[in-house]
Amino acid sequence: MKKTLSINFSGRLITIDEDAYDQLQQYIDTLKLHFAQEQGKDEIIADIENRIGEIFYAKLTNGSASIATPDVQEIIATIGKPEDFEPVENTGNTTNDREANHKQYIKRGRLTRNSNDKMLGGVCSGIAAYFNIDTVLVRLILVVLIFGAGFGFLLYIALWVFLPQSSTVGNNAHRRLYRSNDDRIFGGVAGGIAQYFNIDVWIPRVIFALPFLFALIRSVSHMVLNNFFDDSRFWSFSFGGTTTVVYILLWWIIPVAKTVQEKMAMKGEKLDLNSIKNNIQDGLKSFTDKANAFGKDVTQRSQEWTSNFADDNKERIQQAQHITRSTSNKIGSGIAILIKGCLLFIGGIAAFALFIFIITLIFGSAALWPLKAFLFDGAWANAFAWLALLVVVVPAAAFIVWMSRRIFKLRSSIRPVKVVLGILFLVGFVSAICLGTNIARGFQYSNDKYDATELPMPQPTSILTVQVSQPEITYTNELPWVHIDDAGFDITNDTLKYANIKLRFELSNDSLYHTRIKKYSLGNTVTNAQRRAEKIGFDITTTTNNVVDLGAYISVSKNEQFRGQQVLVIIEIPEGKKIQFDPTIDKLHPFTVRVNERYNNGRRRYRRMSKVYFENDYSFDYKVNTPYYMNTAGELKLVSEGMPSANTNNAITPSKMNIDSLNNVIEKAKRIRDSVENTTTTTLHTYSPITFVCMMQGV
Amino acid sequence: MNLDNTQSQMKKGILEFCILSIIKKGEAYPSDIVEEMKAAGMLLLEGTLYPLLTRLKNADMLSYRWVESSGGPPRKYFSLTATGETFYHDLYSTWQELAAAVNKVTQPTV
Repeated sequence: MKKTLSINFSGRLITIDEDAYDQLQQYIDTLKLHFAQEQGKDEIIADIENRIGEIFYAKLTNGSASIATPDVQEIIATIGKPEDFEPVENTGNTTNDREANHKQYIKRGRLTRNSNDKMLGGVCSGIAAYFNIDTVLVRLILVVLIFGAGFGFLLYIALWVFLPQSSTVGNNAHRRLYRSNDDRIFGGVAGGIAQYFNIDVWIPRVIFALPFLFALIRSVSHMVLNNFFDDSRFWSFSFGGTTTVVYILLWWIIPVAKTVQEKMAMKGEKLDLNSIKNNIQDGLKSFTDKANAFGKDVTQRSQEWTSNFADDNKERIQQAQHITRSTSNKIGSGIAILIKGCLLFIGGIAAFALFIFIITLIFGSAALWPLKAFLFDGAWANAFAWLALLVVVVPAAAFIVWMSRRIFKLRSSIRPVKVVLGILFLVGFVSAICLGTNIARGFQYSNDKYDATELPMPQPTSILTVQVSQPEITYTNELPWVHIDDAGFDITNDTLKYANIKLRFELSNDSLYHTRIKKYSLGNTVTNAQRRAEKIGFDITTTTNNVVDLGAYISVSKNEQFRGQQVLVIIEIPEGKKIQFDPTIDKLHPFTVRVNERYNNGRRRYRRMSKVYFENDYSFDYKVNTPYYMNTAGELKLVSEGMPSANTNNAITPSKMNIDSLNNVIEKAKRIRDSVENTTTTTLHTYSPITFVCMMQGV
Repeated sequence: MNLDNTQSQMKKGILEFCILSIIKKGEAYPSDIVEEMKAAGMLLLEGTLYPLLTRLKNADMLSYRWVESSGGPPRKYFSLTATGETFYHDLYSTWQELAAAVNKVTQPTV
């Protein structure tokens, strides 16, 4: 049983057996090679093809069902094998003479752009033909000039413009660099290089792989040890000083050796017509097998992908399988091969990007892992966190399995492995959602309806000074894998410290200064939020005369978890009394935690995403070392801009004073009511070395 | 000295002369030329003939016209141009001289 093809052969519809077609194709290739230096080579080939077509057509009209290999053999006998042709040049008779003559012609030749072999304008292959070297070398030098020096691009354009185009240029370089299709893992670059230098293929492979692996290990260790938050470093390794880019570049530039001649040029074998014939015969024997095996290989691989992306990618896979099928059917379908090449190339890059992404995730999780106690509350959250790791571990494992099967060319079925990996990934995905939900719930309720605590304080004689005498908190480097540049934040194995302390100034109800302190936290219930708030560590000294001395940080213990804890210090100042701020107040770094909460007027079911995010708080905008006074509206005003005299104050009638203080009470009550009602967006005071957007799936 | 080489050198000029002679008799189709050569006892591969024809045509010795054929595209029929004619006559006289001389030289001396 044989496959037949219908081809349009110089204007005739010819039915031809597949193997006969391959043979014919190879034969015409050798003819083209033979006549490559001839003046009217296109015409000669066209004439010969025309003649072949005529003979075939006669055979078909005489009753043959299709053209078979004997028919092609007959044609080859009639037309003759290139090595049997009589030499026809005037200038020389022997092959040696011809070659020498040809070389001379090339040396004398003008520098032109070669339209026979071009990627853009044929500049590189023109130069290569002029110097009689491999085009790939010239292309490589050009790419190095473009990326290394920058003027390569201009140079190319200039040459493109100035050099005349020519289609008669040939290149006589014997050994040329090709990518090997027979010996490849990705693009066959290493295989081609091995052939070019006549060395074992593992040598270039190791050379390509080792620097990459070293760079990977180095950058990962580097990142884990001291620089997790600096993403750019992680990415830079793959583009600096590794061979990966070089490989991709070579993949792009070096042509793949497809025809027999190219394969021989790759090995540097002499382009002798007898050796071509031998190669063709070897190639023909295994060609059909190879095509079939290749087809199966690609089909299987696409099936692997199918199982990974089963739902959303069906159409594309079918397309790929269609391409695969047509590829194995017919070597001539160049478009299919082109598309397949593009897909493989894109796939390779995508796989590489995916790999980097997964590695980042794995080490990202690992670096954050010791901090989990500050985030995860309870056994469930911890369990979810462990299981959620599967989301990154499973793709990594799958990638390693895929790679190793690719490298070792395993073809066996791994369906059970795929099923297990799929299930584990699903479990991890669900756990990640549960974990997100769990954490989001932890930020759901605030304790702001609880009252502030009043601290005893002696009354200042003329002006109250607010200062921070504790040393400013900075990162103590106790956790080497966390890298923080900014001040105002510290984390150790059991305590989280940060300077989220906010000040508020109010008009006192009486003629006395008061200091009240309120600790805030969020929690999954109001009670839990309040319990956490009570455990916030914060030092404040109000008993010194004339001074309120604030602590420089609040501390959250590991047992309490981070739930946006913060401290609000409210200082009440009687009307007309003064306050000033010491420069040490800079040690405070208030920030705001915003929680997009989900219990909004019963519409929670429509709110799918819940976000927790952090913003710097710049609401404290008073000058330091400058006295302010409290006016009747409860605002602090600069003393230097003039304050009402004491006499005027004393002149206020008792009834007026009563009305004023009543207004103040009403004002305050309104403010409290507002703050209680305004629970949908809870504003806390926080600080942000970590700009941290946590997206969580709502219930 | 390579026998093949010498033989092909001997044949080379003669081939062009033979082809021109056949075409001179009337418009010819390449495969007809091959047949006629074969009948005369000289083996000519089409792979040799086509490049020769193209070269002669490019040198203005030959011209061709398309002739409709039964089924399939038209065929190229070649004929001599004026230049080709002169060229042929020059070759012819050269051949006569050569043949006479060669015969004379190769004739065993009596």
